[in-house]
Amino acid sequence: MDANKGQDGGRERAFTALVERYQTGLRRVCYAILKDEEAANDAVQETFLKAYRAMDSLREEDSEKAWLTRIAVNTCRDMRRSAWFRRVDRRVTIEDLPLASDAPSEENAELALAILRLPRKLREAVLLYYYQDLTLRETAQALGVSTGTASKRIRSAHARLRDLLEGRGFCE
Amino acid sequence: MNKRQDVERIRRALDASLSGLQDDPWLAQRVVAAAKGEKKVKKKISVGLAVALVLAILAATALAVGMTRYFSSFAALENTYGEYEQWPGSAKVELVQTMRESELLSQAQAKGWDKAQSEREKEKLAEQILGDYFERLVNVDTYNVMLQQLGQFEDWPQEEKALYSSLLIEYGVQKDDWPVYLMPEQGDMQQDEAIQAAREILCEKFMANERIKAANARATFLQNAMEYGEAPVWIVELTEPNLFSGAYRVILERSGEVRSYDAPGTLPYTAGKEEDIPADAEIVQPGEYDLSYEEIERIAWDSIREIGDFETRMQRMTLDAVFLYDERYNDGCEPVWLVSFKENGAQVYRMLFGYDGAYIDGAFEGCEFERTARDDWEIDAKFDLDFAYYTVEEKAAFTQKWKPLVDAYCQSHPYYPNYNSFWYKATRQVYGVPGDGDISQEEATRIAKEALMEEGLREETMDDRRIAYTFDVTDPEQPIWKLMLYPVPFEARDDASPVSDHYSYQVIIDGETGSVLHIYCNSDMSPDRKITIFNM
Repeated sequence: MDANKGQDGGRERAFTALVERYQTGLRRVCYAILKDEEAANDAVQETFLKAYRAMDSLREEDSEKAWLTRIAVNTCRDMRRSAWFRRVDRRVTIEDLPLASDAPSEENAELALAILRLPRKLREAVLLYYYQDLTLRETAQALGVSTGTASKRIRSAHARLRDLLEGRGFCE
Repeated sequence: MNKRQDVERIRRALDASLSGLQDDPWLAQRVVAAAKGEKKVKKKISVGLAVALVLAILAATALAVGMTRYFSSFAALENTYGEYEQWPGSAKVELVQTMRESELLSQAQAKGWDKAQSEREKEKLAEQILGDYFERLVNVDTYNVMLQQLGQFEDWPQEEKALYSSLLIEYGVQKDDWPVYLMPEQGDMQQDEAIQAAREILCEKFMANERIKAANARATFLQNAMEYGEAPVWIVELTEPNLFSGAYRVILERSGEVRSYDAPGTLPYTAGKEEDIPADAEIVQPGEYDLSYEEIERIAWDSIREIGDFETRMQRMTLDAVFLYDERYNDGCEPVWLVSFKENGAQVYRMLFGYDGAYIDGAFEGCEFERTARDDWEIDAKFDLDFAYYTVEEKAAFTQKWKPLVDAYCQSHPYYPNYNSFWYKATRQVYGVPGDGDISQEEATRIAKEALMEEGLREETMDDRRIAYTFDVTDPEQPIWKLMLYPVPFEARDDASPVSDHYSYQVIIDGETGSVLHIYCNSDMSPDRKITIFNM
């Protein structure tokens, strides 16, 4: 067997495993940032393309998830800057959510919408710190801000979501 | 409420609400194809950072006793007084005192503490000291206080995880379905032994010995009744440092007996119980698309010739092949040829092939397959997944473009339908546009709304519902309108909104006569709740 081919095969299998493990979460994060299903699919593909090219630069002390999330957030930011993206109205209502086979409960839909309606900076902080369960340091790194600023954004977002997180404020 | 609870709450909400986003099973293949030819960048290792990490670990170890006291003290105060923000000044004074005795506060951080005389002075100072100390914490609670000191949970040593569990149990916060991290007792297998045993069984069972020996190991001792039964187990995960191939995993009983092991991408193999042909396997006869026994026999002999010294032993060897479906192989969606080579009657090697002879993996006697699914699919097209929002004209164009392509793909990949992928499901219907003799979209809308109002839905909010339209001409003799009426938007609801406002309804209408054939609802009570974009 060709040795290089074997190495490539291993790398590809490894990469496939990476995609399988993280694409669902990343797609949801990208959607929550971009509020557009098609754009989110493109962002996820672009994220993994960048990740594949840079696989060797992943440091051992980095978690795969934090690293991929960082790439995804930056990719989404690049996409948001495009002229086309800025022209589209991206206010979200429940019927705009991607159609699922089972409707989310009222409680879940309300919290999800509240997150999607947060200002972008707070929304990104919530997605990284809570949804992706990154550490404060990883969240700050991914957002390109100090840990103090990241902490402030998370606190502020948490305060806005407090009632929903604690089970108050849902329609019965 | 601590971060863990918020994480779970937020994950639940977003996962449930965004579950309609479809994964792309060919994403990895497309990305790899696009990236082929890129120059690889060599990895640089930061020596300084490695040294810093080692020093951090040493420092943490030296502080362990004091830290334990600090965590226990914090958890006890939290249990007594509730959320940190509600603590009285005296509790904060007590915490600062513990932190000082545990050497967690430097002189500078606790400046003025020894000089403070009155309780009021101490309380004021404690507020200030703790405010600075916890400045970066989003939530000040036991879990986050421990995270602040110990870093990411997954990296905590067993002692720290066990301490965390014991604090949760002691103060009544532990939930039934949360794992309980424990310290192994005397007589239990110890952590180093568990890692060693895991490496040994993996090296014995899988052929990638060098990779397994070099892999980073993490062992956790825990009890999780729902997952592993009442007795605690060791879970050892080995991950390769520079690859993302997932983890090799071994589960051991507390006594050290191996319960199961798996390689990245395989289902767990039960130690000592695996049979060559899985008990649940469905043995089948090769069909028109499959290689025959004789053909697979020829390919298998050709393949074994290239492995080890088998070429010189082939005269003494025999071969047996079985064609079967099993969930271990190709997720049970596609049959495989399982080939067994014997020498003087004893099995010496096994090979796994696809139905068409594609090589999947091979394993010496006593070893397991490390690769159990073929990964050579390709369908070099990217679908637009925004299907629900297509107009009937766009859906008709979709059918015209993609159905022939997917049908042709199915011809050359006969087991593809078994995987039930998005691409397959989305092209099983024929979408069209209504003709002269058919009910128009406007008429179908009116019929659907009237039918729903007859079922008791509110007229006031009917027009607020967004509608997706499909004109299904799969049976050209009986075209069908399928209208999906989404839930009433939040903005249009009020306190009197009935539960029906929260649900989607699908109305199926005869495309020629306009009679309502079915009404489906996605409420939990409905037996027909499973509405997907594919039957729209």
